[in-house]
Amino acid sequence: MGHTVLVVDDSATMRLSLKTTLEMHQFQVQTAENGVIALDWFRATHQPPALVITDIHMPEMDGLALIRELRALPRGRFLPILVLTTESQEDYRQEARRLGATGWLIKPVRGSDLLAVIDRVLPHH
Amino acid sequence: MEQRTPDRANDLTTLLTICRQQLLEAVEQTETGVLRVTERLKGVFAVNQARVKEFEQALADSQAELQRWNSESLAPQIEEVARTLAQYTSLIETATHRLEGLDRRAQALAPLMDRIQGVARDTNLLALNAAIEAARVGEAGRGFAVVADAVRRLANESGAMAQDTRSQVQDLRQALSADINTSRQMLDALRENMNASLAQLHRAQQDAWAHMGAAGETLWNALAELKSLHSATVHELSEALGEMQFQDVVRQRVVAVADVLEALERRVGEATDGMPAALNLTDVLETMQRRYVMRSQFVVHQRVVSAQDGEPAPVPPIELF
Repeated sequence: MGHTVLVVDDSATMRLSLKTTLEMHQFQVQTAENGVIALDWFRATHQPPALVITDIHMPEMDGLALIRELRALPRGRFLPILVLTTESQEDYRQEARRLGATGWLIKPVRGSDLLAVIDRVLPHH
Repeated sequence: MEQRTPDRANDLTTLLTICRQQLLEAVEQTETGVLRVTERLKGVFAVNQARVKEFEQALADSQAELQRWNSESLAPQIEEVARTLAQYTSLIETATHRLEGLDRRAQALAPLMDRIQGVARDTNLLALNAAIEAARVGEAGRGFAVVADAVRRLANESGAMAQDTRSQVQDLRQALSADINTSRQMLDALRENMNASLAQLHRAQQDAWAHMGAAGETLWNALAELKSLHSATVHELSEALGEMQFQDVVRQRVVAVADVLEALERRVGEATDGMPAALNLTDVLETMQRRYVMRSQFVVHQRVVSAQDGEPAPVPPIELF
């Protein structure tokens, strides 16, 4: 199996569809329902992910807060983080960019488009 | 008689609650359905992948088995046949050489027979002369004449024996010659057959390999085709899974509507000064618009209240910062 991808989304359908798509392409996938669970796993794991795909609108801790927290950690400083969200308003996109998100994708994203973006942010996966 | 305001308010609250719960349950059902479909798609992938792996493994196993059969069974059998034939050839060759040796030795007996016959002839002449001389001396040579006669008979007998031996040696040589010829013919036939048989076996082996190679190539091509089909399936499944994300978009939009319905329920419940004319919902509309997270939500809202500002600029669906 290849790199691990951390998928953070409060939607069960999103988590399952992303996990299935990525596993079909030899990625290992860790899922979390919100930023708090994702951050706890990220701090505890011995095998940090090569990529994070996160939603914005989530309970407990939203995607923007998660990006902020991850960027504050040494292991998360240069970690590629893709935001995969509904067609959010411009200020969310600007904030994600300011916090250091790597890319911005609007749901629904086709599998081939998602994989093409991953190819660009993880060229040697 | 017209209902009093609290009752009407109660009805409206009930209606709003029903609408909200219907919406939320519909979303829940959609989510359950999409999860099931996703699991099915995952199953399609798993089955396909398992088939590809099984086919690949079976192909690799059969190729290894063929190689093992060739190296452990076919090739050693051909070697065994060649070794046995070589052993028989060697045995016949040795026997032929021995027969040839015997013939040479029998041939060497001929001069000896000549010499024996020569000696017999000379002895016979000598005995004849001795008999003549004995007759000439008369009575005194009578004893000598008896001896000469005996010597002559012995000489004749020796000559006859030598002739008989020569004849038997010739018979022996003829028999040896026939055996040697037979042996040589056998040897030639064996060598010819051995070479032909071995060549045939090798050709059969090569033909078998060629056929197996062709069959193997066909199977490997089939595997490549199967893998290609699997890749195409994975691509289509990935696209389908991407399309499934519509459910999350719908869910968020419906939940936003349900939130507004809940706000309305509260507002209606609080209304005491008449329904519905006195219900001021401006703040609810503003809150609703403020909480939109999608452009499409904003667009629908604007379409209804068209006097408001225009649509926000579209955002590219994929952007790397």
